Amino acid sequence: MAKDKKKENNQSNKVKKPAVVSTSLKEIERKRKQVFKPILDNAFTQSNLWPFISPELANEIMDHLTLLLSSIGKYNQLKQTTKVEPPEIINHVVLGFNSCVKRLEAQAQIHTKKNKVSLSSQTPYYKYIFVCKNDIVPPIITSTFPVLAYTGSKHKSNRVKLIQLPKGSIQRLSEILAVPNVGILGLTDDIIEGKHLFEMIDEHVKDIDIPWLESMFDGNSHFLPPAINFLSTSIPVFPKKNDQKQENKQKKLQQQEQQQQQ
Amino acid sequence: MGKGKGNNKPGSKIPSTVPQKDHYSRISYLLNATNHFTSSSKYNILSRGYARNLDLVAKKTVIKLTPALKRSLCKKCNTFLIPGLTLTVFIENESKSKASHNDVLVHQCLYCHSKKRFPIGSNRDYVVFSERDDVKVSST
Repeated sequence: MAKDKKKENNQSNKVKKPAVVSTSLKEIERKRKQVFKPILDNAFTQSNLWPFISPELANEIMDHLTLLLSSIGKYNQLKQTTKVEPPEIINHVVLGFNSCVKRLEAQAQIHTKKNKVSLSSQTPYYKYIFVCKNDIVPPIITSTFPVLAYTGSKHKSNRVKLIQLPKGSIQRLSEILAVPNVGILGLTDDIIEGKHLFEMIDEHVKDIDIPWLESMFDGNSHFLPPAINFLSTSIPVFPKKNDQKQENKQKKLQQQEQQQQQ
Repeated sequence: MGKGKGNNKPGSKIPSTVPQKDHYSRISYLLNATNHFTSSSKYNILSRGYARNLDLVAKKTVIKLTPALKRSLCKKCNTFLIPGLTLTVFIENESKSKASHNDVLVHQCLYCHSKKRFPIGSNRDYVVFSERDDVKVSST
């Protein structure tokens, strides 16, 4: 019983509180006026960095992915019951947020000066990252991907391609792969079967461009103007202190009343 | 009451000037300098120094910064956090049942290894106050 009560309490706590919580009548009657408060935003924009992908292109990419990954899906379904050889492609694919991010971060290590050893040509290069951006909530999970893909790039002319998939693709991917909740997927650039897909992506999907990080590649840095935004909020309107006009008015009124009474 | 009282309200205009704009410029400039020096390991102490100045100036002048800006600096050592270079990101679930409401997104600074944890599982619809529709003013 006690446990149940606790649960209920927890749930009630989760319900969103209204912005203005007040039980005092004075507070409720008080007038509020709308104001705009300035706020300093990050000059290095974190949004709008995702390369645009037209719906037709996205559909084509999904079809190609279905073809590529179906062998992994079959293997995943069969491996529970029978012993089967894993398909070769499984070594060129990473699934899920953590493993994908880990690979990209490992790739980004070449840019930190401490261990500036260029990746040998044999280590796999995860060049194509597919993200179901619109299916993954909250967006803070996917917000780091553009910068991460940029820092994980090998060379300026050979950048990691970030592909956002249309809404609903998370279900489709999960069905194809027979793994629940696959929203993020990475492919290496040396898959022979995927050559056609990669050519298409290289041609139609733009590189991620992050001007403020360009110094990572060529040493030129950009200084950006301050990004000042406004927030629309409200403030309470208090009666003026020492308002002479108001006082005089009240005095006059009182005098008039007295005169009428007389 | 106060909430949601429209951006669309007729008489309400976005102010064209910002009081104490120099402070905003100064903070923004410090941020740019921080970014500039982060990329070279030779100057990353200087970079952290600038970031610390940024934080102190913002506090002293009582200027509001967006969560996006604040989160781009490490709370402990003031490193400018760039995913891949100075920041590592992962999702953690410490519960035994691996229930999805226990998911935690962790941002870890690679310099001082301090972690910032975002309990994303507890409320998937959470939006930062400055990004909410009724508060955010899209302009400039």
